[in-house]
Amino acid sequence: MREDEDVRLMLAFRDGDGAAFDRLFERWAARVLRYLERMVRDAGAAEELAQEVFVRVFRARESYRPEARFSTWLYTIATRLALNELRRPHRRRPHDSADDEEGRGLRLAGELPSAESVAAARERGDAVDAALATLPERQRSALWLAAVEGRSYAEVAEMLDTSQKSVKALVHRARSALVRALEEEAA
Amino acid sequence: MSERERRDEVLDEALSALLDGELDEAAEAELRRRLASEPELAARLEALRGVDTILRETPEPGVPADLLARVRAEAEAPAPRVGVRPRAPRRARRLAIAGALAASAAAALLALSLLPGLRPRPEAPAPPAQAQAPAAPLDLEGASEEEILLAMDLEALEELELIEHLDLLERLDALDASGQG
Repeated sequence: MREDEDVRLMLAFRDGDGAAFDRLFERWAARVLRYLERMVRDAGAAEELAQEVFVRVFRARESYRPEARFSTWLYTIATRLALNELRRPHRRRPHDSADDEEGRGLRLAGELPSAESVAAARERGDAVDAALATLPERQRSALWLAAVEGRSYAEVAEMLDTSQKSVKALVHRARSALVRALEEEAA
Repeated sequence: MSERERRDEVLDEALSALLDGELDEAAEAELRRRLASEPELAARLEALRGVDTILRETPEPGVPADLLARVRAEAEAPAPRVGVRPRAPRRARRLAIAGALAASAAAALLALSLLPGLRPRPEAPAPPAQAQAPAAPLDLEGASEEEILLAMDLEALEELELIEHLDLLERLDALDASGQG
Protein backbone atom coordinates (compact mmCIF):
# COMPACT_ATOMS: atom_id res chain seq x y z
CA MET A 1 0.00 0.00 0.00
CA ARG A 2 1.27 3.44 -0.98
CA GLU A 3 0.89 4.97 2.48
CA ASP A 4 2.60 2.05 4.21
CA GLU A 5 5.49 2.41 1.82
CA ASP A 6 5.73 6.16 2.49
CA VAL A 7 5.82 5.59 6.22
CA ARG A 8 8.41 2.85 5.82
CA LEU A 9 10.57 5.14 3.71
CA MET A 10 10.25 8.07 6.10
CA LEU A 11 11.17 5.87 9.06
CA ALA A 12 14.13 4.49 7.12
CA PHE A 13 15.22 8.03 6.32
CA ARG A 14 14.86 8.97 9.98
CA ASP A 15 17.13 6.06 10.82
CA GLY A 16 19.83 7.24 8.43
CA ASP A 17 18.94 5.79 5.03
CA GLY A 18 19.46 8.79 2.73
CA ALA A 19 18.26 6.91 -0.35
CA ALA A 20 14.85 6.56 1.29
CA PHE A 21 14.40 10.32 1.09
CA ASP A 22 15.26 10.27 -2.62
CA ARG A 23 12.63 7.60 -3.12
CA LEU A 24 10.01 9.66 -1.28
CA PHE A 25 10.91 12.64 -3.44
CA GLU A 26 10.50 10.57 -6.61
CA ARG A 27 7.13 9.30 -5.44
CA TRP A 28 5.66 12.68 -4.57
CA ALA A 29 7.54 15.54 -6.25
CA ALA A 30 5.52 15.67 -9.49
CA ARG A 31 2.15 15.52 -7.72
CA VAL A 32 3.12 18.14 -5.19
CA LEU A 33 4.51 20.36 -7.92
CA ARG A 34 1.31 20.01 -9.95
CA TYR A 35 -0.78 20.97 -6.91
CA LEU A 36 1.43 23.96 -6.18
CA GLU A 37 1.32 25.11 -9.81
CA ARG A 38 -2.45 25.00 -9.74
CA MET A 39 -2.45 26.92 -6.47
CA VAL A 40 0.01 29.72 -7.18
CA ARG A 41 -0.32 29.81 -11.00
CA ASP A 42 3.37 30.46 -11.40
CA ALA A 43 5.70 27.65 -12.42
CA GLY A 44 8.79 29.29 -10.95
CA ALA A 45 7.16 30.05 -7.62
CA ALA A 46 5.64 26.56 -7.50
CA GLU A 47 9.07 25.03 -8.02
CA GLU A 48 10.55 27.09 -5.21
CA LEU A 49 7.68 26.09 -2.95
CA ALA A 50 8.09 22.42 -3.85
CA GLN A 51 11.75 22.71 -2.94
CA GLU A 52 10.78 24.23 0.40
CA VAL A 53 8.23 21.47 1.06
CA PHE A 54 10.87 18.76 0.69
CA VAL A 55 13.48 20.75 2.59
CA ARG A 56 11.03 20.81 5.50
CA VAL A 57 10.39 17.09 5.23
CA PHE A 58 14.13 16.47 5.17
CA ARG A 59 14.77 18.62 8.22
CA ALA A 60 11.88 17.13 10.18
CA ARG A 61 13.10 13.56 9.83
CA GLU A 62 14.33 13.24 13.39
CA SER A 63 11.03 14.32 14.88
CA TYR A 64 8.89 12.33 12.43
CA ARG A 65 6.32 10.06 14.07
CA PRO A 66 3.97 7.98 11.88
CA GLU A 67 0.84 9.23 13.62
CA ALA A 68 -0.83 10.63 10.50
CA ARG A 69 -0.58 9.66 6.85
CA PHE A 70 2.69 10.83 5.38
CA SER A 71 0.91 12.40 2.43
CA THR A 72 -1.45 14.34 4.71
CA TRP A 73 1.57 15.84 6.41
CA LEU A 74 3.21 16.54 3.04
CA TYR A 75 0.15 18.28 1.61
CA THR A 76 -0.38 20.23 4.80
CA ILE A 77 3.10 21.69 4.41
CA ALA A 78 2.48 22.38 0.71
CA THR A 79 -0.92 23.96 1.33
CA ARG A 80 0.31 26.30 4.02
CA LEU A 81 3.31 27.38 1.98
CA ALA A 82 1.06 28.01 -1.04
CA LEU A 83 -1.44 30.06 0.97
CA ASN A 84 1.41 32.09 2.48
CA GLU A 85 2.81 32.69 -0.98
CA LEU A 86 -0.57 33.86 -2.27
CA ARG A 87 -0.89 36.32 0.60
CA ARG A 88 2.56 37.74 0.05
CA PRO A 89 2.31 41.30 -1.25
CA HIS A 90 3.78 42.10 -4.67
CA ARG A 91 4.15 38.46 -5.62
CA ARG A 92 5.43 37.89 -9.11
CA ARG A 93 2.99 37.93 -11.99
CA PRO A 94 1.75 34.41 -12.62
CA HIS A 95 2.16 32.66 -15.92
CA ASP A 96 0.73 29.46 -17.26
CA SER A 97 3.02 26.58 -16.54
CA ALA A 98 1.54 24.66 -19.47
CA ASP A 99 3.38 27.06 -21.75
CA ASP A 100 6.62 26.48 -19.98
CA GLU A 101 7.34 22.83 -20.41
CA GLU A 102 10.50 23.29 -22.41
CA GLY A 103 13.58 23.64 -20.35
CA ARG A 104 11.90 22.37 -17.21
CA GLY A 105 14.33 19.50 -16.90
CA LEU A 106 13.70 15.81 -16.91
CA ARG A 107 10.44 14.17 -16.08
CA LEU A 108 10.58 11.34 -13.62
CA ALA A 109 10.76 7.91 -15.19
CA GLY A 110 7.45 6.31 -16.08
CA GLU A 111 5.42 9.52 -15.98
CA LEU A 112 5.61 10.65 -19.58
CA PRO A 113 2.11 11.25 -20.98
CA SER A 114 1.57 10.89 -24.70
CA ALA A 115 1.51 14.02 -26.86
CA GLU A 116 -2.11 13.24 -27.74
CA SER A 117 -3.23 13.00 -24.15
CA VAL A 118 -1.52 16.27 -23.27
CA ALA A 119 -3.17 18.02 -26.22
CA ALA A 120 -6.59 16.59 -25.38
CA ALA A 121 -6.31 17.51 -21.73
CA ARG A 122 -5.32 21.03 -22.69
CA GLU A 123 -8.25 21.41 -25.04
CA ARG A 124 -10.85 20.16 -22.60
CA GLY A 125 -9.21 21.61 -19.57
CA ASP A 126 -8.68 25.16 -20.77
CA ALA A 127 -12.04 26.48 -19.61
CA VAL A 128 -11.87 24.62 -16.32
CA ASP A 129 -8.29 25.62 -15.74
CA ALA A 130 -9.04 29.28 -16.40
CA ALA A 131 -12.01 29.13 -14.05
CA LEU A 132 -9.93 27.32 -11.44
CA ALA A 133 -7.52 30.24 -11.47
CA THR A 134 -10.30 32.66 -10.60
CA LEU A 135 -11.55 30.71 -7.59
CA PRO A 136 -10.75 31.96 -4.10
CA GLU A 137 -7.57 30.23 -2.95
CA ARG A 138 -9.20 28.08 -0.27
CA GLN A 139 -11.89 26.86 -2.66
CA ARG A 140 -9.18 26.01 -5.19
CA SER A 141 -7.18 24.15 -2.60
CA ALA A 142 -10.15 22.29 -1.11
CA LEU A 143 -11.43 21.14 -4.50
CA TRP A 144 -8.03 19.99 -5.70
CA LEU A 145 -7.25 18.11 -2.53
CA ALA A 146 -10.64 16.39 -2.39
CA ALA A 147 -11.37 15.78 -6.06
CA VAL A 148 -7.91 15.22 -7.50
CA GLU A 149 -5.82 14.04 -4.58
CA GLY A 150 -8.67 12.05 -3.08
CA ARG A 151 -8.31 13.47 0.40
CA SER A 152 -11.17 13.11 2.86
CA TYR A 153 -12.91 16.24 4.09
CA ALA A 154 -11.38 15.56 7.50
CA GLU A 155 -7.88 15.63 6.01
CA VAL A 156 -8.59 18.75 3.96
CA ALA A 157 -10.00 20.42 7.06
CA GLU A 158 -6.74 19.69 8.85
CA MET A 159 -4.70 21.02 5.96
CA LEU A 160 -6.73 24.22 5.71
CA ASP A 161 -7.13 24.54 9.46
CA THR A 162 -10.90 24.66 9.26
CA SER A 163 -13.97 22.49 9.89
CA GLN A 164 -15.24 19.62 7.74
CA LYS A 165 -18.47 21.54 7.24
CA SER A 166 -16.50 24.43 5.76
CA VAL A 167 -14.60 22.07 3.50
CA LYS A 168 -17.87 20.60 2.25
CA ALA A 169 -19.08 24.10 1.34
CA LEU A 170 -15.75 25.12 -0.19
CA VAL A 171 -15.59 22.05 -2.42
CA HIS A 172 -19.22 22.41 -3.47
CA ARG A 173 -18.86 26.10 -4.38
CA ALA A 174 -15.69 25.42 -6.33
CA ARG A 175 -17.23 22.54 -8.29
CA SER A 176 -20.35 24.54 -9.07
CA ALA A 177 -18.26 27.48 -10.31
CA LEU A 178 -16.30 25.20 -12.63
CA VAL A 179 -19.47 23.60 -13.98
CA ARG A 180 -20.80 27.09 -14.74
CA ALA A 181 -17.54 27.88 -16.55
CA LEU A 182 -17.88 24.74 -18.67
CA GLU A 183 -21.52 25.51 -19.45
CA GLU A 184 -20.62 29.06 -20.49
CA GLU A 185 -17.82 27.72 -22.66
CA ALA A 186 -20.22 25.32 -24.34
CA ALA A 187 -22.92 27.98 -24.87
CA MET B 1 -31.85 33.55 -2.06
CA SER B 2 -35.31 32.07 -2.52
CA GLU B 3 -36.45 28.91 -0.75
CA ARG B 4 -36.17 26.94 -3.99
CA GLU B 5 -32.66 28.23 -4.65
CA ARG B 6 -31.67 27.29 -1.12
CA ARG B 7 -33.04 23.77 -1.61
CA ASP B 8 -31.13 23.45 -4.89
CA GLU B 9 -28.00 24.65 -3.17
CA VAL B 10 -28.35 22.03 -0.42
CA LEU B 11 -29.00 19.34 -3.01
CA ASP B 12 -26.02 20.44 -5.08
CA GLU B 13 -23.82 20.31 -1.99
CA ALA B 14 -25.06 16.78 -1.32
CA LEU B 15 -24.20 15.74 -4.89
CA SER B 16 -20.73 17.13 -4.44
CA ALA B 17 -20.30 15.26 -1.17
CA LEU B 18 -21.55 12.09 -2.87
CA LEU B 19 -18.77 12.38 -5.45
CA ASP B 20 -16.25 12.68 -2.64
CA GLY B 21 -17.67 9.73 -0.73
CA GLU B 22 -18.56 11.98 2.18
CA LEU B 23 -22.26 11.24 2.67
CA ASP B 24 -23.40 8.98 5.45
CA GLU B 25 -25.10 5.75 4.49
CA ALA B 26 -28.68 6.95 4.90
CA ALA B 27 -28.14 10.22 3.03
CA GLU B 28 -26.38 8.41 0.20
CA ALA B 29 -29.17 5.87 -0.14
CA GLU B 30 -31.80 8.61 -0.26
CA LEU B 31 -29.86 10.58 -2.86
CA ARG B 32 -29.27 7.55 -5.03
CA ARG B 33 -32.99 6.77 -4.93
CA ARG B 34 -33.74 10.27 -6.20
CA LEU B 35 -31.01 10.06 -8.83
CA ALA B 36 -32.62 6.94 -10.25
CA SER B 37 -35.92 8.72 -10.79
CA GLU B 38 -34.87 12.31 -11.56
CA PRO B 39 -32.92 12.64 -14.82
CA GLU B 40 -32.23 16.32 -14.22
CA LEU B 41 -30.55 15.52 -10.95
CA ALA B 42 -28.55 12.72 -12.56
CA ALA B 43 -27.42 15.12 -15.29
CA ARG B 44 -26.28 17.58 -12.66
CA LEU B 45 -24.25 14.87 -10.94
CA GLU B 46 -22.58 14.02 -14.25
CA ALA B 47 -21.75 17.68 -14.85
CA LEU B 48 -20.07 17.87 -11.45
CA ARG B 49 -18.27 14.61 -12.08
CA GLY B 50 -17.05 15.97 -15.42
CA VAL B 51 -15.15 18.74 -13.64
CA ASP B 52 -13.33 16.19 -11.52
CA THR B 53 -12.42 14.16 -14.60
CA ILE B 54 -10.90 17.17 -16.33
CA LEU B 55 -8.96 18.24 -13.25
CA ARG B 56 -7.58 14.74 -12.74
CA GLU B 57 -6.34 14.70 -16.31
CA THR B 58 -4.17 17.74 -15.72
CA PRO B 59 -0.73 16.48 -16.76
CA GLU B 60 1.88 16.29 -14.06
CA PRO B 61 4.65 18.78 -14.69
CA GLY B 62 8.19 17.70 -15.33
CA VAL B 63 10.25 17.77 -12.18
CA PRO B 64 13.49 19.67 -12.82
CA ALA B 65 16.36 17.22 -12.86
CA ASP B 66 18.30 19.23 -10.29
CA LEU B 67 15.45 19.83 -7.85
CA LEU B 68 16.34 16.95 -5.57
CA ALA B 69 19.97 18.09 -5.48
CA ARG B 70 18.80 21.61 -4.61
CA VAL B 71 16.58 20.27 -1.84
CA ARG B 72 19.46 18.27 -0.40
CA ALA B 73 21.90 21.18 -0.68
CA GLU B 74 19.53 23.53 1.13
CA ALA B 75 18.45 21.02 3.75
CA GLU B 76 21.98 19.91 4.55
CA ALA B 77 23.48 23.41 4.58
CA PRO B 78 24.68 24.46 8.02
CA ALA B 79 22.58 27.04 9.78
CA PRO B 80 23.79 30.59 9.14
CA ARG B 81 26.36 31.76 11.66
CA VAL B 82 25.03 34.02 14.36
CA GLY B 83 27.01 36.54 16.35
CA VAL B 84 29.99 36.81 14.01
CA ARG B 85 30.94 40.08 15.57
CA PRO B 86 30.06 41.56 18.95
CA ARG B 87 26.68 43.20 18.73
CA ALA B 88 25.10 45.92 20.76
CA PRO B 89 21.88 45.12 22.58
CA ARG B 90 18.85 44.98 20.28
CA ARG B 91 17.24 48.19 21.48
CA ALA B 92 20.51 50.13 21.24
CA ARG B 93 20.97 48.92 17.66
CA ARG B 94 17.42 49.84 16.78
CA LEU B 95 17.88 53.31 18.22
CA ALA B 96 21.15 53.78 16.35
CA ILE B 97 19.56 52.74 13.07
CA ALA B 98 16.42 54.77 13.66
CA GLY B 99 18.61 57.70 14.70
CA ALA B 100 20.47 57.48 11.42
CA LEU B 101 17.16 57.42 9.59
CA ALA B 102 15.99 60.40 11.59
CA ALA B 103 19.15 62.28 10.66
CA SER B 104 18.56 61.46 7.01
CA ALA B 105 14.99 62.70 7.26
CA ALA B 106 16.13 65.88 8.99
CA ALA B 107 18.78 66.47 6.33
CA ALA B 108 16.18 65.97 3.62
CA LEU B 109 13.88 68.44 5.35
CA LEU B 110 16.67 70.98 5.61
CA ALA B 111 17.54 70.60 1.95
CA LEU B 112 13.93 70.92 0.94
CA SER B 113 13.37 73.97 3.12
CA LEU B 114 16.26 75.75 1.39
CA LEU B 115 14.65 75.33 -2.01
CA PRO B 116 12.70 78.42 -3.10
CA GLY B 117 8.95 78.10 -2.68
CA LEU B 118 9.21 74.95 -0.61
CA ARG B 119 9.08 76.10 2.97
CA PRO B 120 6.88 74.19 5.41
CA ARG B 121 3.65 75.85 6.36
CA PRO B 122 3.46 77.07 9.96
CA GLU B 123 1.01 74.34 10.96
CA ALA B 124 3.34 71.58 9.82
CA PRO B 125 4.42 69.44 12.82
CA ALA B 126 7.82 70.21 14.24
CA PRO B 127 10.37 67.42 14.05
CA PRO B 128 10.52 65.47 17.29
CA ALA B 129 13.44 66.03 19.59
CA GLN B 130 15.03 62.71 18.78
CA ALA B 131 15.23 63.61 15.11
CA GLN B 132 17.34 66.66 15.90
CA ALA B 133 19.78 64.79 18.10
CA PRO B 134 23.07 63.79 16.54
CA ALA B 135 22.76 60.38 15.04
CA ALA B 136 24.98 57.48 15.93
CA PRO B 137 27.32 56.68 13.07
CA LEU B 138 26.06 53.84 10.93
CA ASP B 139 28.00 52.12 8.20
CA LEU B 140 25.19 50.91 5.96
CA GLU B 141 27.60 49.21 3.58
CA GLY B 142 28.69 46.94 6.36
CA ALA B 143 25.23 46.48 7.77
CA SER B 144 24.00 42.95 8.20
CA GLU B 145 20.76 41.76 6.67
CA GLU B 146 19.19 41.93 10.09
CA GLU B 147 20.25 45.55 10.52
CA ILE B 148 18.84 46.49 7.15
CA LEU B 149 15.59 44.77 8.03
CA LEU B 150 15.57 46.55 11.35
CA ALA B 151 16.06 49.84 9.57
CA MET B 152 12.86 49.09 7.71
CA ASP B 153 11.07 48.12 10.88
CA LEU B 154 7.97 50.25 11.16
CA GLU B 155 7.93 49.81 14.91
CA ALA B 156 11.34 51.48 15.19
CA LEU B 157 10.09 54.39 13.13
CA GLU B 158 7.04 54.74 15.32
CA GLU B 159 9.15 54.78 18.45
CA LEU B 160 10.83 57.95 17.29
CA GLU B 161 7.71 59.45 15.73
CA LEU B 162 9.41 59.51 12.36
CA ILE B 163 6.03 59.04 10.78
CA GLU B 164 5.55 62.75 11.36
CA HIS B 165 8.59 63.46 9.20
CA LEU B 166 7.24 61.28 6.46
CA ASP B 167 3.93 63.08 6.70
CA LEU B 168 5.75 66.42 6.43
CA LEU B 169 7.71 65.26 3.42
CA GLU B 170 4.50 64.15 1.75
CA ARG B 171 2.98 67.56 2.40
CA LEU B 172 6.05 69.27 0.93
CA ASP B 173 5.78 67.04 -2.12
CA ALA B 174 2.12 67.99 -2.46
CA LEU B 175 2.97 71.68 -2.14
CA ASP B 176 5.68 71.30 -4.73
CA ALA B 177 3.31 69.56 -7.11
CA SER B 178 0.62 72.20 -6.68
CA GLY B 179 3.06 75.11 -7.00
CA GLN B 180 2.14 76.53 -3.56
CA GLY B 181 4.51 77.31 -0.76
